[in-house]
Parts: sequence; C-alpha cells; structure tokens
Amino acid sequence: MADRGDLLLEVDDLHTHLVTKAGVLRAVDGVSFQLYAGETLGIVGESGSGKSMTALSILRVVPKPAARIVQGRVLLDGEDLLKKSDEEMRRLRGRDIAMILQDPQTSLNPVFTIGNQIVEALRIHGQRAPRRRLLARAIEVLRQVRVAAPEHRVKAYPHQMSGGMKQRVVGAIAMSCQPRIIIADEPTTSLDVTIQAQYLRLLQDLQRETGLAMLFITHDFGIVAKLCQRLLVMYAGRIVESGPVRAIFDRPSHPYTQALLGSVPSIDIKVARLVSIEGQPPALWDLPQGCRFAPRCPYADQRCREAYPPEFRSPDGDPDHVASCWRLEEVA
Amino acid sequence: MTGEALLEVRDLTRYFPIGGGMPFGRTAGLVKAVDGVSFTVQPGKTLALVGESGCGKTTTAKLILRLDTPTAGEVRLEGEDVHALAGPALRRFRTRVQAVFQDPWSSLNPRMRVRDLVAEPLVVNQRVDRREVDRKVAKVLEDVGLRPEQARNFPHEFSGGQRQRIAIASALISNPRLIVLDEPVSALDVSIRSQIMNLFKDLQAEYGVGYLLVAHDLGTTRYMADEIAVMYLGKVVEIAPTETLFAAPRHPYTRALFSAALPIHPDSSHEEIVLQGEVPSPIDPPSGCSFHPRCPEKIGRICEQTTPPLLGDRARHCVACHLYPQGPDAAAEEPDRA
Repeated sequence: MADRGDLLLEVDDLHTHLVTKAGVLRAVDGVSFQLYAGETLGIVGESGSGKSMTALSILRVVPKPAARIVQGRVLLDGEDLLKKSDEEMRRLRGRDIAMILQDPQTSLNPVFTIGNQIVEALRIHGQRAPRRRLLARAIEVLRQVRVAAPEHRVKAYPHQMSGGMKQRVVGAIAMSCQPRIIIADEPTTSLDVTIQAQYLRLLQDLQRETGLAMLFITHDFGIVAKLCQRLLVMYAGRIVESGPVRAIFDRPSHPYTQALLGSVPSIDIKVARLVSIEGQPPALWDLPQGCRFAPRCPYADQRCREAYPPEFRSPDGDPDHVASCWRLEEVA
Repeated sequence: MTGEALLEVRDLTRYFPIGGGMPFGRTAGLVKAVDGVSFTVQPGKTLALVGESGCGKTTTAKLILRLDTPTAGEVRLEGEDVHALAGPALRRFRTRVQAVFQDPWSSLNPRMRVRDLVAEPLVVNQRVDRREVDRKVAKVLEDVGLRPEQARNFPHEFSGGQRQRIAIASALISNPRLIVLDEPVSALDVSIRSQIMNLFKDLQAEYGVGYLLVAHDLGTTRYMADEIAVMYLGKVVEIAPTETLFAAPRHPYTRALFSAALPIHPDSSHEEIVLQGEVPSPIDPPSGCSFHPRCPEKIGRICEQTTPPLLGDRARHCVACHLYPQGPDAAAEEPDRA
C-alpha cells in the first residue's frame, strides 16, 4: 500500500502463556504484526484464539499470576514496552495507548460521577490544573464523543445512562489524553444494532479528526468490512492469515478464513445452506503438532498434520496478503 | 392462505405496573412491554421476532410459553386458548411447546446427567417407562449430532455448541409442535453458529416443527425465518414474508435496522441511516407513533398524535406507518423511494 502512514507499533514474535492446572496454555504463540499511523487494523478470531490476550500483552495488563509474557518484543517508537519498568508503563497507558473494553458496565466505577472518572484519567497523566479547568476539559471530551448536554452529564453516575451512552463515556476517557493508539476489544458487543451503528460511526469520525491508529478486536466480519483497512485472522494463538481487508474478503486464502466468511448469514442474499465448520477449536494445552486447523480442515493431508505451515503469499498477487497454509506453497 | 395456524397470537398485551416503592402504594406507572401484538405461525414454518432490547420480543415469547400471564389478548395453539388451559390439557400443552434459550451455560442444570436433562419433558409430562425413555434419548441425541453414550455425561463436559445441542435434544424429545428459540445462537462462537443454524433447519424438515425465533441478528433471521415481524417498543411495526421484507422494507424503523446491519463485504453498498438517540423508555412511550422522535421520515403532527394502525394484507405484508395510509403495497407505486 502506497499511502501507508508511519510505523507506530510493532509486535514481534509475541508469546504469552497461561499457567493453569490443566497445563501451560499457549494463548498467544508467536504473533507478529505492525500498526501504522492513522489506520484501523482488525483482529478477528473466536473465543480462545488469543486476540484479547494479544491486546492485553501489548499494554502488559495480562491477568496475573496465571499469564506470563514469555517471549517477544512490543516496539513503540522503537522502544520495547516489555522492557519498561512498571512505573513507565503506568504513565504510558492511556497517554500513548488507550483501551476500550467490551462491557461499559464493568469498566466504569459505579460510585463516582463520570466527570470524576474523566478528571481522574487526566490527573493520572500529569495534568496539574484546578479541578474546575479539568472538568471543563472533561466536558469537552464528552462533547467530542457526541454526548448530548455534557454539562449535565459530567454530574451523572454510570447507572443513570444507557449502555450506548456509557460506552461513549468510556470512549471519552480513552480519548481524554489524546493517545496515538486505541485498542478496542469488542466495544460494541453489548450494544444494540442501531446503537452499534452510531458507535462505529463515532469511532470513524474520531479517527478522521485526530488521525489516531486503532487496533480493533472483534469476532464479527461485518465490523471489519465496515471499519478496518487491514486484517489479521487468528486461530488457536496464531495469525493464520493477514492482509488488506478487501483482498481477504475477495479471496480468503486460508481454509479457516474461507469457512468463517461462508458461515456468516448475509442480509443481502438468501443462501440455501451455510458453510459450517465441523468440530471445535483445539484445546490450547494440547495443540496439534502441525497446522492447528488441520483436524477441522477439509483439505488437510499428512504434511498438514506434521508440520506447521510458514506464511505464503496469497495467489491474488497482493504482496501484503499472506496465509499460513501448505496449499499455497505450490501456487507461490 | 394455509389451513389452520399452528400458533395464533391476537392483540397480546402485557403491562407491568411499577410500584411507587411503598407497601400498599399505588402504581407509579405502567411499562407497556407488549402492546397489542398479533401474528400467526404456520405448522412447520418459522416466524422471527426482531427488534432491539426492550422491544418486547422476549416478553412475547414468555407469554406464548405461558411463563407469564397477559394483561389482555390471547394466545391460541392449534385453536386452544393457551391461557385457559388447566390440568391434563395444560400438561399436554407443555409437551407440545418447548423452548431453547440463549445461554446453554445457564439453561442446563449442572447436576443432572445429559440423559435426565434430555428426558425431563417426557418424565414430567408423560408416562413413559425407562426403557422407552432410554431409546428416545438415544434417538434424539443422534438427531442433534451427539453420541448416545454421551447421555451419561454432565453438561460441564461439553463445549458451548454441544451444550446447545443438548438443549435442543431436550426440546425435541416430546415431539413438540412449536419450539420457541430465544436468541439460540448469539452466545455461540461464529464457526459454531452455522452448525447450529443448519441443525435447526434439518430438524424442522425432519420433525415438521414450527419455530418462533426471537433474534436481533438480521442475517440469522434471513437465513432461518419464513416470515419476520419487526417490533419496536412493544408493537409490531411491520410484518411480512422474509423475502418480501428484505426486498422492500417499508417502515422507516425497519429500514434503519437493515441499514445498521453490518455489511458482508467492504464493497457492499448500504443505504446509510444512522438513527439519532436511543430507544425511548417503555414506561412513558412517545405519543402517536412511538418511533416519531427518532424517525428520519416524520411527516408531521399526525405522527405525534395518532398511532398508526398495522395495515395491509395479513398474508403478505403489513406496516404500521402514516407514510403508507393504504398499506405497504399501495405506496410502492410512489416514485420517491430512493
């Protein structure tokens, strides 16, 4: 892509393990990708694919003590976040990289007004100003996320607001320190469809206004089609396909991506029968030796079961579109 | 028109009084959860209720299952008034209507084995001997894609998709005429959803069972349903056969709902209607057409003052909107729909 912005964030060979009674779960198992300024990069995958754990690893907020980032680098401006002290990370979260989580009900504190919660974020990030001034700034960010009557809303408590409104407030807190990167982990899953449409529109507008980069985690290909420019598809802890969104939709190259795209019922056309992927994802403590999708893959052969495939270029010729599947070897 | 309807819902209404917080106090208001809803489900067919949270679709489902009592209106299953049933007739009703709920983690009793979970509708409502129960359980487990020997296991030994299969087996075993599916795939992972949706379609073909599908995902309803009723704040605002509705949605709310549905491809062009505001409270719903405060096509005072009736041919397409005073088909000739 010619019009790509500067490289902002680079994740290189990230491994995050969870130590449990059942054994060591390789939740993130060798994930590498880049995030460029101004773009929206989507990560799709099912539960347990490692998409959320990847996001948490970037900010180093993985659930302790079970989770451990065992290997890899997360480079922001060339500096490895995994080597920073806890204090440095604390300052960096929210200021450089902010996060929006799935459920606004649990990410807001029920006993503080939302004005207080925005002011708290500003204070933590070193804005030393009288409370009055900070509140004015809180009103400003609420206006930025299109909350109606923000002068009154700063005095409201979370329970006085609807789900969509609360998620806007969470967005306002994320925006309050003008981060360069926002990581959004399924932010619209708990919202109704018309409210989801409003929220996605808002994120697009904010991105246009501020030029921030977004890492958008979802299980919904529809959101990807609407919002993202590039896409990573994860399965059982690894990226199985990545590339420009349009290229992946036009020519999905990994059998998993193909099946996933075929299994989503469309509202535009009537399909006689959906593609269905039989079986379930593998247990992360007992991963197959070769390709992790092989047990469910209609094309799997002996080699697929024995060795994990490297990345091959998709036959569509797009140099950025790659997939980890042995079937692409002969084409390449 | 088909023969006798499997399920007929007429002017179904459910108001919930809100107390003033005082004992013996007067009610402070009414939540009009379901407000005069009518539709029919034909034998072996699927009707979907779609709408956003708070539109009354789940309350409607509960009234049909007789888990709640309507304020007014009636529910008839194969001609019998469901809410007038008692004694043996009620027990018979309980075998003829079953339900599958959204969350298979909370809908299955964790202390019961699969055999007992699946057999429960038989044991509770019919007299069947043990050997017959075992035979039926084995048959129905195979029908839903599980192995008969898994009857000895407990729910926690299964994945989400498999648990939903257990719930479906339990719903099927008494050979019901109608199954209420309340968001049956929304708690499942994407790759599992299509398995379960295909299973529902196969079972419908095999057992001839009718479905009342409660869902918010339009893709799911387009795939599963023969007919769709769109609900907003306790009322049906539009009802039509699935393909008719998707080809020509009439009500501004239906159109906004369709446009809010996510595209299947980055290039698929959609009419962009982003509604302002949120669904108003059903405690004090707006006067007139309850959609008027958010409606992008409001025509004037009539929308604020008069509730539009549901007009049109009951067998084909009905819409409740002042834009279509002659019903949905008459207005189709107007050229201004861009």
